Amino acid sequence: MKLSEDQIIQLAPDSASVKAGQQLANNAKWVTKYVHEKAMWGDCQGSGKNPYRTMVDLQQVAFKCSCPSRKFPCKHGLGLLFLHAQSPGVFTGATELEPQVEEWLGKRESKSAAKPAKESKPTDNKAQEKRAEEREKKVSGGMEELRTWLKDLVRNGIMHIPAAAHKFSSNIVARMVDAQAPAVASSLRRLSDLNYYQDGWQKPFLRSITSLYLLTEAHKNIAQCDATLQADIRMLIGWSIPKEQVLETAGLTDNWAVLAKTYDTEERLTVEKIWLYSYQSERFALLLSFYGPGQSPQQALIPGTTVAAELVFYPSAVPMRALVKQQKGTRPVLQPATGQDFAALLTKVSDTLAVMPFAVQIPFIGDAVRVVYQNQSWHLADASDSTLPLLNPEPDCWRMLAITGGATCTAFIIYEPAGANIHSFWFDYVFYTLT
Amino acid sequence: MMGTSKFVPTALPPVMQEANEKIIAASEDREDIFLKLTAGYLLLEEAGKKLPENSFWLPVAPEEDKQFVSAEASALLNQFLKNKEDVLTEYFIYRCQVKGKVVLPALLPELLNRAVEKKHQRAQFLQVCGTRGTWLAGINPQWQQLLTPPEENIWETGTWEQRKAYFRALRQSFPAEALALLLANLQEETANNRAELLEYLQQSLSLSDEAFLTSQLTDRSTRVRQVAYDLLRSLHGSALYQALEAFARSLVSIKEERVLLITKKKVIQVNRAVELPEALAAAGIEKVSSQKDVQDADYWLAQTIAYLHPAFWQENYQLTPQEAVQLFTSHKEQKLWVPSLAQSAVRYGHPGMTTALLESDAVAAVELLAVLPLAERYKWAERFTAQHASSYLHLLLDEKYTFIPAAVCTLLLKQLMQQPYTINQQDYLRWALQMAPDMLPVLQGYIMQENETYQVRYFKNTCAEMSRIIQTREQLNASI
Repeated sequence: MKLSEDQIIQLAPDSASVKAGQQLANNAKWVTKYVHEKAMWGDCQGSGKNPYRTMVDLQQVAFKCSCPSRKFPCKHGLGLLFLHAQSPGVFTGATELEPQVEEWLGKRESKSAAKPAKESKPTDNKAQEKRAEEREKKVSGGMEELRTWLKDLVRNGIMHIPAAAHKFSSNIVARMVDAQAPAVASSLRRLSDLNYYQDGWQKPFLRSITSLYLLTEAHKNIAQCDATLQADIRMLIGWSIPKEQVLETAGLTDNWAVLAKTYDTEERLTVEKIWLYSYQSERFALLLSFYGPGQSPQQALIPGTTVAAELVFYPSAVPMRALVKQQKGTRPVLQPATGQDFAALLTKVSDTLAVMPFAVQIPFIGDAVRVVYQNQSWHLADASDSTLPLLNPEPDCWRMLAITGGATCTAFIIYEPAGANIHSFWFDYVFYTLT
Repeated sequence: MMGTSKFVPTALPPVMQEANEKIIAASEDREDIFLKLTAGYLLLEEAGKKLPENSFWLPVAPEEDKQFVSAEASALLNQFLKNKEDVLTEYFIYRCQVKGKVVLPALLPELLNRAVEKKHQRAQFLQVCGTRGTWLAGINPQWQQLLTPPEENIWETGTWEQRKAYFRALRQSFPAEALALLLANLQEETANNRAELLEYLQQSLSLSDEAFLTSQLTDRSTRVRQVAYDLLRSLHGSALYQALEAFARSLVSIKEERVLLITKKKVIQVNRAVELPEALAAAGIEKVSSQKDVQDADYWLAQTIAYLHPAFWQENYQLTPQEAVQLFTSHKEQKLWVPSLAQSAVRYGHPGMTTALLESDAVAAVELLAVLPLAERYKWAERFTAQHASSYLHLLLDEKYTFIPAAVCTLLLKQLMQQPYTINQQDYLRWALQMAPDMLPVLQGYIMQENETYQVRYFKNTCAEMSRIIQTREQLNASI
């Protein structure tokens, strides 16, 4: 499968690797270049005596290179893909894989087929229970403290918040960390990121603090909630479910379109979000990964491709977060024909909030939508002229307008109370990503 | 309401009233009521949201009438724009124009942003953006300046760059109309703008401009007066030019001297009894020599020569350019006069005088090459690379990216390896675009040098970059 320049950029660990890779997208730098339906490989003349052997698995995008770089993928892997995107004609079409490439692909296949079960360490159940009990206590105390803090906040008024935006919540954030409620701490930290210079900041601020208050109330009454909502509440507070536990549940095997891939930074951690969509079950999935400093993203899923995979979902009232249990081939993404307008989106929002009142991001694929630029503000309109404010940065909006020329397209959006954020779209059956 | 009056839910819907009653019944305190009620209200609002309607449609972009560049070429342009490789971006624009193609829409916003920054290349950038680019520029207020207003309004409503471009084009096609435009409007402009517009009269300068230029000699701006004098001094046939000619004739006489009692030789004699006319002093000819050991009369002659048309020596003294050069270069004041002669050759673009000067070996003015066609500049490589490598190279760079002969490139590389900092990185890259692919092995030779001194390392890296540019150019040419 041929990847576009944008898709290759999404695979790079950083912008320096993109630049270095693009500079290697030069026929003269490569001694040999071969492409096969399963893989692509070549020898790149570096500064050393012997050229580096670079291999790319095209079925489940993966890289291997003999260079000493610690980056993954290295500039040679990216360079080979860039060269193929720019000048596929310079590659020799191979009918058979070279032994070295075949061996590597074989190893990968056998590895994924027989993933060794994580050796379970002998557990001290008593100690574990004690720890869990202690945490429950700490969290309960923390939630009580948060309730008191929120009440104090509204009692004293919120007009002074913009002036102290960066420090007003610092003490309670520290307390939530101590109370082992890290997700609540993150939510409180995000209060500082609100745009207090914008008119009407009070509404999103109130939405955030009342949602936190609702969470404390939900925690208080958790026993009365059903199991899936309980899982949501615990996750929103900061309990994590071990991956192994999720992987043991029954999965959903389907062709999943990779719609978008985004990176955010949160407290020195890189948060990777990959949005997937199944055409058959018309269902969205979110692969959420966290990487520490210096760690490279491990998910080699490329927006604009479809992967045949089995996904398992974390328990939730609205199951969205998922893990890849098994992954097979990759092929280009097709334009979905959902035929849905914003009325369907609003129904979805209502349905979601009815079972999961803490949901803030709701994925949606809108048909026949158009970008509207009027009075220096951006909107997204559907076929019946209903409009949502566009939350994308302005360069993205101009790019989309340039491509569509004011005509309608099919767009993958993330709905938020403030408006819509377009992550990718199809125009003339071509997939474009904005992330 | 509890510290804020900014957000007060007004009339509550029935379902909220019901919820409100329950909340109050089980409330801990008034803050608890407020927080729960607000949470419920906001959720209800979200769940029952009604979106505003807007039937506004942007005018749909017109169909593109030109062919798009290939996806491969577009990927290269994307790379150039992202890495801010201006030299390659400009080459891309040139190739696009030559091929009559336009850029794919996805790259238009970035290209239009770049066009706004590149004031002098806006027209070229906009051209390769095609009809979609023009449509897009019409929507974004920041890009609207790229669009040329209707021709009849440009002079009144265009930006300064657009007005200048309009005036330049008008002067080229209809010199009299351009002059009339200045006559009617010049005084409304600022001093700097007046001077800049006057400078454009150099194009198609004729005696019909004299009266207007003379009227500008009383302008209140010194800069405007200087430009007017400059134009009048170089306007063949103007009163000022005639005064310069008369003054030169009164200063210079050619005499024959006997050499070794056998042959005769012509020599220049300067009449030191002549006074500098006041009119010429007012026109910028300096009265007193500013150079040590140079007499005033010799100094006046040097200044006058610079403004006299090279044909003056043929018309008044029957001297061919070669004879004139020979006479001046053999005089003891040649260091003073020969550069002026070179200035005159450059000012009037006189190939005869230029060739004579270059062949005489007496002058090392690299700017003389500007008078010659590109193909003739190459043969002077040996003369100018040692001292004027940078200026010489600039004279070889042309808008059509003509390949510079390998011998000239090799000579320049040899020289620049000794002094790699005489030209900047951008010039090296621009030069690479005019190198034929057969220069790659030569560059490779420099890249593989063993010497690791700082200077050599810099030059090696530069050569590696130049190789990359050549290869990228070839890739682009093959894919566009």
